[in-house]
Amino acid sequence: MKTDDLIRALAADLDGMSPRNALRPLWADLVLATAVMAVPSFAVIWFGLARSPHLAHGLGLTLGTTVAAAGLLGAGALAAVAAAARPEARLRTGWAVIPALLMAGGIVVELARAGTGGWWQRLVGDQPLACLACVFLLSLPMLGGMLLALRRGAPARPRATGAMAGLAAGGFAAAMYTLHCPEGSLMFIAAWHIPAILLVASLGAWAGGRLLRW
Amino acid sequence: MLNGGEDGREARWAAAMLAARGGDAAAYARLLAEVAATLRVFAATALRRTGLEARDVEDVVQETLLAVHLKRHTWDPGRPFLPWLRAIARHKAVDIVRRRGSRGEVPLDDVADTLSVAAPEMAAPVERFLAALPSRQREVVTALAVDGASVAETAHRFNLSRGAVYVALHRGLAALTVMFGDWDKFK
Repeated sequence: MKTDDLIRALAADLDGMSPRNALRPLWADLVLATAVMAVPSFAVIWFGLARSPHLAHGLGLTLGTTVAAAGLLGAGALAAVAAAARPEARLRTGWAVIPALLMAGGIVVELARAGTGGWWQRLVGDQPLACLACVFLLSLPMLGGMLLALRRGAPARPRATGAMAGLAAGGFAAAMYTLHCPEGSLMFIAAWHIPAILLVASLGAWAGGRLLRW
Repeated sequence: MLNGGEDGREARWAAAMLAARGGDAAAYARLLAEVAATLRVFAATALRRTGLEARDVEDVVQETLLAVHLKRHTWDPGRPFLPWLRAIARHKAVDIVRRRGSRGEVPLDDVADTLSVAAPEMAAPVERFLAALPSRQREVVTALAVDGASVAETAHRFNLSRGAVYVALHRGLAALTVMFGDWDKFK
C-alpha cells in the first residue's frame, strides 16, 4: 500500500467514528476507571474488615497524616499519569516531595510527642505483613483500571507511566485502608504501607512496558 | 523542519486538526499528505545517520501517520500541534531503529533542511501486513485505500452496512499498527 492509499483509508476512518467517542479526553477515562475500580476495594474494607479503633478519636496525627499523604500521592500521581498519556509531555515527579515531607514531618512530630520508647513495637506492629499484603491487593483493581484507560493514550515512556499509575493506585488504596488499619503509629505506616505502594509501582512498570506500548 | 512554526505551519496544521475533529475528511487528508511529505524529510535525515536503509523511511512515515490517526485524541487543541507530532515521529523512529537491532540515538534536533524528497516508488511495508489481516478487514482496507472506493461503494460491494465498513476499517488500521510493532514476525 502506498502512503497516499494509507492516507485515503485514514481519512475514510475519520467519518466512521462519532467524534464524541473518538475524541473523549483521556483524563476523563482515567478518573472514571480509577473511581469505578476503587469501589470493590472500598467495599472489601467497609464490609469485610473491622473498623479501625482509631476512627473513634477523630483525625489524630497518624490518621490525618496518612490520609493526607496517601491521598496527595494518589492525586498527584494520577494527574502526572493523565499528563503523561500525551506523547510530548514529560513525566512530572516534583510534586512527590509534598506527601514525602508530610510523612517525614508527621514522624518527627510523633517521635517528639511519644519519645523513642517502644519504637520497635510501633514500627513492627502486630501484623505488618497482613497490612502490606492488604494495601498491595486493594490497589490492584485501580491499577488495572488505569492501565486499561491508558491504552488509549500515547505515553512516551510506557514503563515509567505504568509505575506512576501504580503509585496512584497504591496511594489511594493506602488512604482507604486507614478505615481498617488497626496500627496507631506513623512509623508502622512508613515501614509497611510505603513498601506495598512501591511494589504496586513495580508491578505497574512491568505491566506498563507490555500494555502501554504503541 | 518539525521545529519551526515560522512558515505558519503550526497554525495551519492545528487548524486542519481542528477541522478534522469536526469531521472534515478532506481537510484531514490534505493535512496528512502535508505531514507525510514533511515526515519523509525528517525520516530520511534521521535514519541516514543511523545507517538504516532507504526503505525504512516510508516505514517511519506510515507508522507515524497511523499513530497520528489512532492517537489523535491525545492532542490537546489548547496546546501546540508540532511538538505533539514531533514526539510521535520520534517515538516511531526510535521504535524502528530499535526493532532493526541498530543501536544509537536518533538525532532529531539538528534536522535542518526542508528539502522535499519524492515519495519512493518502492513497495511499502504495509503491503506485507495487509496480507496477514483477517479477510473482511483486508477487503475493506484494500477497497477504500488501494482501489479508492467510497464507503458507500465498499458497503455495497461486500454487502455490509456503512457501520460495519467503518468497524472493519478501524480494526484493520489498529491491527496494522500492532503488526508494525511485531515487525520481527513478518520479516
